[in-house]
Amino acid sequence: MITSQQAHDALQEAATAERRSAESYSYSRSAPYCILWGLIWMAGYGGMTVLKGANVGWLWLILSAIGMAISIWFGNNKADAQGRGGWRVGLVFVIIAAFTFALFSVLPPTNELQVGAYSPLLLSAIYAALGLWRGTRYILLGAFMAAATLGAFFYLKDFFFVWMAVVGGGSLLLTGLWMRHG
Amino acid sequence: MAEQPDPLIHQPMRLKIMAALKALPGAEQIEFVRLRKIVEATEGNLGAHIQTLEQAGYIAVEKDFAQNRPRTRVKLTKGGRRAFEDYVGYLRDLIAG
Repeated sequence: MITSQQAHDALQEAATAERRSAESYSYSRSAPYCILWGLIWMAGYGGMTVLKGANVGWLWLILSAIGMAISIWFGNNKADAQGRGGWRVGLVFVIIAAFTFALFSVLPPTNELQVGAYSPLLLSAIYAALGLWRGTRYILLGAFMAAATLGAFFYLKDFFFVWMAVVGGGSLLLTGLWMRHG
Repeated sequence: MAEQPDPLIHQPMRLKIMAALKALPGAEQIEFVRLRKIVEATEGNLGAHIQTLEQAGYIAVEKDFAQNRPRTRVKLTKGGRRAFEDYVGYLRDLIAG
């Protein structure tokens, strides 16, 4: 016969294992996206240090298209056992694009630094919020990315794009590798 | 309420294994290596418990090769999910008195 205290302890052990498993599952599914977009950010922000004007737009358009195509492929490839997930990845991009269009219509950015800081800050907020349910690594990534972006925006204007390529892209890439290893 | 807890799940490490598998959505599998980190078990210990749970029909084990490396994946069966829920229900009833 087991006591009420032993039953309580056993339930706590089970709850801890469930939480760790759910976090690990979430990390394993997010890892390839973090690695992919870390590389894309490195290429995109790196390109902004040498390209100007319309060429920057084209660079991001091409990189974003590549990133979205691969992300949707990941989504289909890693759709869970019930077949969910693939189409939702595509829909996430549509929602973000619609939000960005709406935001820039209401609050148009006045310089390229503001445009460059927008995506990392948006993603930081999404990651930090996601972390409340999915695990602390998302919160750490969000907090670090926001701090790195704001720090560079206000204090490293001359090196902003290099900084975002190395630190912004690098932090996504490293977090992805960290998540992949459980 | 059952008079006795399921002795297979009652063992602490097997309870953790079952709980970890229960957290996966639907019929998702988890790799042995990842499960080992979650439940903090040694390879041999986890392997032995997995075998016990598999023989009871609570979990299904699939072995294959991924990128030329042997891979073992585990998932909860419907019977295993039911047994785990019954076990947790038993504990909750016990606490409630």
